[in-house]
Amino acid sequence: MVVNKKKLNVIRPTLRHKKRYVHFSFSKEILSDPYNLFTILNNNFQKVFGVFLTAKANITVIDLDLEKREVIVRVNKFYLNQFLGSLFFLKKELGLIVIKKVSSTIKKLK
Amino acid sequence: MEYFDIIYEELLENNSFKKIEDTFLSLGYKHVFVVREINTQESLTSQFLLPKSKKLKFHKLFLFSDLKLLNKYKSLEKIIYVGGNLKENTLAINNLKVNILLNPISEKLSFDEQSANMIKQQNKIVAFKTSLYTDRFVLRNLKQTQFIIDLLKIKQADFIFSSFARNYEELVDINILKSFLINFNLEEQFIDRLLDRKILLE
Repeated sequence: MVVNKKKLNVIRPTLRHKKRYVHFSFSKEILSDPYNLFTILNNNFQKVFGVFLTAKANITVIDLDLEKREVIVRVNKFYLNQFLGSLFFLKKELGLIVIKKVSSTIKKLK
Repeated sequence: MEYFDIIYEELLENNSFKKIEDTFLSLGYKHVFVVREINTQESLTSQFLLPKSKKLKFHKLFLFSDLKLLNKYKSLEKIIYVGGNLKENTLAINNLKVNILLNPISEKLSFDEQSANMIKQQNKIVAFKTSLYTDRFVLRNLKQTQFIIDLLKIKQADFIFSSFARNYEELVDINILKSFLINFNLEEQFIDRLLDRKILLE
């Protein structure tokens, strides 16, 4: 009997990737949209740590406030240190970066 | 843990005190070491006043790149000597007045096991400026730093990483700096010790 699967099963909690949300601000006024920032963060991480770690880290821009120049980025928990370390190399693109908070949920950030 | 950063005097002169205080507190620092660069006789003798703050603590440091001026120096503040090639590194390590050797990195490797041994015997500290890894010759500087750090760890000598910033864009958040230092095969507790003020104030 062939079963046509139309929907994926819910992934059980133990198999889900644990995430961390990083809230940081930057000083340079160069960005125009979230996709531009995502490209900058992704390319920088790839340059520092390589393609495989970039894929595993799964960097996503959740929220971007261009007026206040604040961003919330989601990263895989196990690669949080590498992500923070990669921000070290973004002085030219983003200026002074200040990490405001790192938490496991978006609610705790706000 | 009370983290420290080292900055040049220019950063204090060109910005308002409130902005400096707010910035350093948001970056996670409680101690700021202010460096005066000594290039002339005048810079040796002119007044060096630091602001006072309840939340931030300021300390003085003097930076020399000329031995003749260093020999005229008579004060109790700690001294940084700018290293580079083998000759300058050796001069700095042998001079009793020098407390901190800054950036012993150049075109060719100029720091060996004997240098690390002497640093430990004379209780000196090796300092690395963070802009070495963002400006020019990044790969070369990273390789040399890794090698020098491995030598210093074997000899149990002290070393520090600081921004030595002249402007705001050179400053680094403490969490970013800690995560960056993990890539040099350093443990978190060891990194906390490197960034704590006790390493310079004891």
